[in-house]
Amino acid sequence: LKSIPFQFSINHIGISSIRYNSSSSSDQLNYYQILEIPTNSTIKEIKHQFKKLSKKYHPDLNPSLDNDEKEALNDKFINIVTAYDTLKDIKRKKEYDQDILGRSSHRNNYGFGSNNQSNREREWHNKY
Amino acid sequence: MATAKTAIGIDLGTTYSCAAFFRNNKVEIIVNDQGNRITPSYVAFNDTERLVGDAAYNQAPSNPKNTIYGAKRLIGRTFSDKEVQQDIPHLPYKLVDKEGKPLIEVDAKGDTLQLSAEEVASMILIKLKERAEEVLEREVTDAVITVPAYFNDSQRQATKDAGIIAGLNVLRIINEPTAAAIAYGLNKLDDENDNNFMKRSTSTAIAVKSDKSSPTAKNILVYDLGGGTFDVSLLRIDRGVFEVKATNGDTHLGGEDFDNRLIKHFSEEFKRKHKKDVSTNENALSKLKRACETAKRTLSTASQAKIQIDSLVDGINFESSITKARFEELCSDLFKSTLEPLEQVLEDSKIEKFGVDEIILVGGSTRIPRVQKLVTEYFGGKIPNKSINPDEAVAYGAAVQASILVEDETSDVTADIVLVDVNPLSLGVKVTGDTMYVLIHRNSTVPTKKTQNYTTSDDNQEQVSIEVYEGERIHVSENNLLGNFTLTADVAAGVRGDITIQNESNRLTQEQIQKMIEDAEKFKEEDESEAARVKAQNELEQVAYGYLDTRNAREISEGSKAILKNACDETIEWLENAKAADTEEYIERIKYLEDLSAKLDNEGFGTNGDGPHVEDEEEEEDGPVILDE
Repeated sequence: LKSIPFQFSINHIGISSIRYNSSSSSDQLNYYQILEIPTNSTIKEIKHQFKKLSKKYHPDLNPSLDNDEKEALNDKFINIVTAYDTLKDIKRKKEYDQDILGRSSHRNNYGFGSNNQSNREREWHNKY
Repeated sequence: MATAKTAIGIDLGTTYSCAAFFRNNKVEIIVNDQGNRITPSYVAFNDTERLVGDAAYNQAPSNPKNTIYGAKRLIGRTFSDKEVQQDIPHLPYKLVDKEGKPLIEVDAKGDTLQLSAEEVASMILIKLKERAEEVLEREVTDAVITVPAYFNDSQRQATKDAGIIAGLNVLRIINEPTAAAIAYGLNKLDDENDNNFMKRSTSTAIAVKSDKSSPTAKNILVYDLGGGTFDVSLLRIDRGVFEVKATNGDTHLGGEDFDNRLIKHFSEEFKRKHKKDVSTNENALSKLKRACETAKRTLSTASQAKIQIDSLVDGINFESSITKARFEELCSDLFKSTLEPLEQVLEDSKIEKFGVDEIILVGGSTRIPRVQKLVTEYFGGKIPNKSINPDEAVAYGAAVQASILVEDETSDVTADIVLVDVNPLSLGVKVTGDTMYVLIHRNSTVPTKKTQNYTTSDDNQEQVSIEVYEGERIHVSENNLLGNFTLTADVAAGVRGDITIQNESNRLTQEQIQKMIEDAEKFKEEDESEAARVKAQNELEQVAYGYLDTRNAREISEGSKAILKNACDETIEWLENAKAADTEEYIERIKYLEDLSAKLDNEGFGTNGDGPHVEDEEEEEDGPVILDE
């Protein structure tokens, strides 16, 4: 059996891209590093930080950049959103905390615990 | 500063559209050529011309089959869509199925024309764009266009395509309730600072907001019931960050549906009284529709409305009335159906009813007292905020977002505002059987991405097709198919790459869009040539009547006066008979009259002696002085 990573990206209209077999450098950073905050931050602090980062990195706010810079910024913001999405939720934050504190940050997928992940893979595989 | 572009914000509505721009630290609504702040989303065709906006709306009852409205209810949908099928009996214009796409068929200048909803929308956009250019006195290409928050991918793409056909650079498609929230948010600053926010240097206003009211982050619920669509969004506004928490709605519910209920009610009454069927008579239906719209509006302020239509069917005059209570009863299930999305939004955003700090009503249909009451009751008596204009708020917010996106001279005002929106529908792929496997859940902040592993066996060299859907149903067949992509051996072998989704449902192809852009150009030329023709006709009329009126005051002989009179009389008679002559012919006749007049001036007195008979001795007329031109 072989596992192929697919990356689905969406924007304000809908799907903006689907990439396969690509890995992102941000996979090396954990969510706290992405949000530039310590791991003992409270949810309130996380929400506050997200707003601060939105004002700094939201792709809308820097229209004068060239296309490459825009894309880099967009990727950066997507990573911020992904990190925030998990850490703003008390349950998912707890799961994530256990996950990153439990083992090193060598991961291909992010956002979900390993148990979750294997379930999902099975599910998607079922069809074929 | 002068080189900075001005981007406009456009609220492309089902029944009305509105455009605005942000300049000199304030939002200005673009007033149309009829002096109105909103423009009917109507396009009509007759024997000689195309009409867009007020002109199309005004002639609708006399030309129902060729008057198109409500294109927004069709955009991005397939012909077989349940909602499209539901609408067909109510539409006076003809809808045809062209490869699954609903096309509107009209008679235009003697030809049969089939138009997609995108094309119709583009005509309205062009109208707004051209008006913006007149007002701003510069070319306008950049625009933010709003869509209902609950629009799906196809509807958004189609709206964007309409923008492209209109020659617009669509900076962003934003959600209507989000745009309205921006309008509210900025107005709020205004109140707090006790001055007219938009007229002042607002960087100070925002600074005040940041320092003083930072603890007062607010949860705002936007309830947007328009002409054809319904949206609810919950946002948290905190220090200039507009974060959408959740959104929901019904892209096929609004004022049009309330009108239809009234039309049905009165059609039945007419049938009972006169044994005549209105529903099969487009002209009658169109007249009744206009009367019902008016009655509905009346009932927002009065307890009873009268209906009076001369010669509805077979010369029968129709007179009737309806009470507010009866109207509310007719539409009560529709009104109540807005509560379900409302409930869902609160649930999805994990905010309790009492956690909502402000309720904002947007869209013309929120003027209906019963709707206001329903919302108030739902929130335990909390009165909705009425500080923003329900017709203009969306365009207002779109204009602000447009100025953020082009970073124009007003960036000091908008620099502190950022919009963080969500996707309205879950995105997933088809797995085992008919099941939807969700990859990105609804109400996820956008932009976002999700990596998902697909497992295949090493020896699997077959090509596998993967279908991508959006929607909330468990079975993919009940969701919206976005398209599919194929998993090839290359992918399985670990090669990196991008996938483009194939055959995106019923989206226009590049070629079709290109053709429509050319057609738009053709329509424009035809409009211009028709305008030139009408102008030449008016000019000839002016010249003829002008000479006729002023001839007696001129220093020419009585004979010359008579010659001039004859020529003018003949021209006026010709004008009356030749209703639609070519532009060239008018111009030729203008030239003939002008040459004649000049010749008579040169001849002066005496050449022709006294004319045969001299009547109308009205001297000292101040007719228009066309000669001096």
